[in-house]
Amino acid sequence: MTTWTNWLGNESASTTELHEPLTTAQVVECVERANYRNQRVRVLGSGHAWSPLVPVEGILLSTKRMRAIRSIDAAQRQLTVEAGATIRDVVAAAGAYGLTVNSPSMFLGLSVGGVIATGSHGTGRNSATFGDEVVGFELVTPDGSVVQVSEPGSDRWRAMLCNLGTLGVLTAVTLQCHPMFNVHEVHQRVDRGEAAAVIPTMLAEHEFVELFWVPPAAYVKFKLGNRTDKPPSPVRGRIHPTLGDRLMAATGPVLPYVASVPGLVTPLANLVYDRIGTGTRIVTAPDFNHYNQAYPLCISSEFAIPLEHAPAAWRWLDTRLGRYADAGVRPVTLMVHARFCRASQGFIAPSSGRATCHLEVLSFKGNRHRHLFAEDFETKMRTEFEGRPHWGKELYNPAAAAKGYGANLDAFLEVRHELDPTQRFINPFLRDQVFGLARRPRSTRARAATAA
Amino acid sequence: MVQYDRTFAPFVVPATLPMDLDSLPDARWMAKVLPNQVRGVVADVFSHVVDRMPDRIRRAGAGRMLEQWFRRLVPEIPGRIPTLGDAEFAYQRFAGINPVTVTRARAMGDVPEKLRLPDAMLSPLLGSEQRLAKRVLCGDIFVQRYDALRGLSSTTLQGGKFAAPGNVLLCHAPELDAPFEVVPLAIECPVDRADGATAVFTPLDGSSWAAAKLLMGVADVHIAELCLHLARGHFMLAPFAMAMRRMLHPRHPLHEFLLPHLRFNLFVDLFAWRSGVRETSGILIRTLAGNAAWAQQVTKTEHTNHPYSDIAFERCLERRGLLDDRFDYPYRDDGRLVWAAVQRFVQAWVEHTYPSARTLAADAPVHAFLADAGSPEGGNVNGLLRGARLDSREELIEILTHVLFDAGPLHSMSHYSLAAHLQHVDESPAFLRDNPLAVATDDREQVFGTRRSKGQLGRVHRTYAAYDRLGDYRGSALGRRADLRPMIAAYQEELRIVEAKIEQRNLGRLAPFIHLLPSRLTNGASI
Repeated sequence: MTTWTNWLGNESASTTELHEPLTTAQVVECVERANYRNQRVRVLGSGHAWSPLVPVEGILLSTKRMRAIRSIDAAQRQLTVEAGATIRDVVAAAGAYGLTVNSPSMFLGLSVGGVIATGSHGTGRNSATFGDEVVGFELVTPDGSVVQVSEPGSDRWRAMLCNLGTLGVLTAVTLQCHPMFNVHEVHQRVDRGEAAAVIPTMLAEHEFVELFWVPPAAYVKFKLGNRTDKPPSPVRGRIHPTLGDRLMAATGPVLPYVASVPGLVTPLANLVYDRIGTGTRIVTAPDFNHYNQAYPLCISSEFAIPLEHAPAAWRWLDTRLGRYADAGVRPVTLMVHARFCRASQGFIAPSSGRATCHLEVLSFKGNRHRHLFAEDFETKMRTEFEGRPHWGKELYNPAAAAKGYGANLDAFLEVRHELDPTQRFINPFLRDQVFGLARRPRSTRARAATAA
Repeated sequence: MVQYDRTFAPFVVPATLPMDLDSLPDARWMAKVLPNQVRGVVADVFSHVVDRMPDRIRRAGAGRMLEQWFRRLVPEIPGRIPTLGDAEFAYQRFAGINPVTVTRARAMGDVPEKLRLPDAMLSPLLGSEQRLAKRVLCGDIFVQRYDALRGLSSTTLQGGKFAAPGNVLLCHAPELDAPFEVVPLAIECPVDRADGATAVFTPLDGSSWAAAKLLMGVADVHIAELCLHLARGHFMLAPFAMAMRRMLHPRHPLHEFLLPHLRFNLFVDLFAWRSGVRETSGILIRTLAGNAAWAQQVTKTEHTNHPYSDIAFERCLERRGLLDDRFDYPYRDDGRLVWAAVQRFVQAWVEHTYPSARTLAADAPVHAFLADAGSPEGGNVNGLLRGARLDSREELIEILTHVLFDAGPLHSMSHYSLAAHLQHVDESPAFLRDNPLAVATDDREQVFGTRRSKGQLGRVHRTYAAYDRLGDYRGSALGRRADLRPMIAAYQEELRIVEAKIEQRNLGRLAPFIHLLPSRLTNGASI
């Protein structure tokens, strides 16, 4: 029996075995062994998800040793990496060939497999999820066979784009890269009350838009960017952490206490905003994307809402959190963060089928007021703004999480059932609370697959 | 002669332990049990250290490192049925630590009143328009009642512990996309005090549903330990072990036949009674939630509620409406194979020993043995004989099969599955501090303090030993009889075939059910 705990310590699992295979062949061996012993399997990425996607009573299969860059096709600008490689590995490998990847997560320590599984994303008008950049998947299916999924647009490919680790073990992916480009980065502070109104303008004028607010600070910060041909200036502390980053990480446990002192909110907001960046400069795309290496112990909740709802949703957040602040309550102690992306093709990617604003609230771990707001946030985003929660972040209402996908969810579950009719790769949380499989009649196709 | 002690009436225990070689533990028993005592001590030390370790240090890896070292010294007990998830919860009723109480509802009257779900409540749970009455008529509805636990209250609960009775409603619904064909529909359980008002929770109730499932998990541990393991695995066998010593000469064929199956009963039962169940400080009661008086009362219900013949394998299935095999019920399906093998062995022995009904009728000690076991002045086995006297070889076959099955397979299944279940103290719901439904969602983790594990892990490992293996009669008078060797060889061969069949079945189950694999069963309750 092995105990696994995620990075924050809010999720843990006691499993029979934890395997760390090095090759696809070893993954196949593990899956076959699980089949032989009739055990459930879940795949581990870097363990950064807040939601209970991992816990299972069975075998945990970590891809952390599968980090090889298998090949780079410079002509096609395609990079094939193993699923355990981190975003940092990918960014560095692509960079060495003058390439960059689209929509990587801001934090570089996440595994490629985990980022794809949860439909994670970066920011940018031309970016969907990181998974949408994949042109080929190598998958060890629940029956132990190795298949290539490389028909973009097919049902199986669309299911793979955000798969929650329920289709088998993703062992490698081929990513479509792009020529390295530079970004003209601009940081702009806007009065809190005006932020919602200027969002459309910012989106119209900039390819990359991010919005930060440390409530109840009086102003918000826009991080804006447009492509440029001008040469970049070197920036410290982006892809590779500086001493300052490491110190920030070390002071992480102190921040919640600092944040709880009302008089220190403004200095803290300044500190946070400054760490994100200041002024104007030209940077490479990776330097633009990966601006923060110190991730304090916090809990994040994120909803993907249609782009057109972004101003109204931001306005609601501003008002609601402002009211809490007036009452002396701070349910969001770190920040509110918005990113803007194009539609994903993934069946159950939160940004599936629509240009999206990803609205995220982050609180330090241990904030006792967090739950006061979490329900408000979840209900409002879901019911009024058609929000879909980020799978890897806190799922406050798991039963409602899958409801916003309509026919896409059925299509995803059909593919899943085809690949995993015995439900070996799905954990009870996803099966019972999120998908409610035991309350869904089996489709004819699924029944036929089971019978076969 | 062994005398009956009736302080635990209607059960009997020996007044004193007979000091003969057939009743006391031998060197083999010691060799099997002593290493487990060491493992038990290691487990206690490990629990003590880890439970007192600050959370931060434990999470930083010290806990994991200690756990790895602990696992090198004390291997994992196999066969735990997963507890997370709704399918697993339903599966536990048919293959878990207590697979013998779930009952099919034959009419709406069999469904507890509060669990008669209206259509509007039932339909979302089954994914289409449904009526409970119709599903009951189709024989799809099952109920698990924990009525035996009634009586739990602030006065009968041990300080700082919590358990409560409840009812579970399940439905056989193969049309749903669930990994087990039976799905849980609802739980009725107290929302505050153990004897307080109850409410109904369904899988759509989020964290309250999870809390209700935990409560039922705790109830299940109590039923499994008290009604199945203690009552049926130990105390219902004690009368036979005592009557055997009282009425049969050690060289009598029936004594020789029964001894490998009942050899340690008196020693173990006496220990279980005096050190485990008699006082609240007893090693067994300490690991439960109710006090000794309550636990004894619960244990006795198994004796008073059913005549002995009613709890025989098939009879029990029949009473619970579970004879048909529309879906995989591991206890029933595997148990049938084992029961049939035991029955054929018993039949071969009876027919060999008593070639005719006349020879049996003439064997006075056998009649005296059964009369003593069944008499209220003797072993007090309720409803042992059909009539006043044993009337046929078939009746003897039935009784002996029942005794051998309960002493070996049933006890092993109960004992070792409980060990596997309770070894994971951190996730086992065996010990609650409070009703999780009565505290705020955020505080629910606090009702599962890690110190609840005190003593539990050690006890599990101390008692995880097997003296012999079902069908292995080496070293016994039975095994030395040349005329019985072909019969024993045939029995062993049949058990090997049963083993292979169950292993094959386990590949397709929600989780392997290994607790009726013949290789994991013993001849008797030796621990």
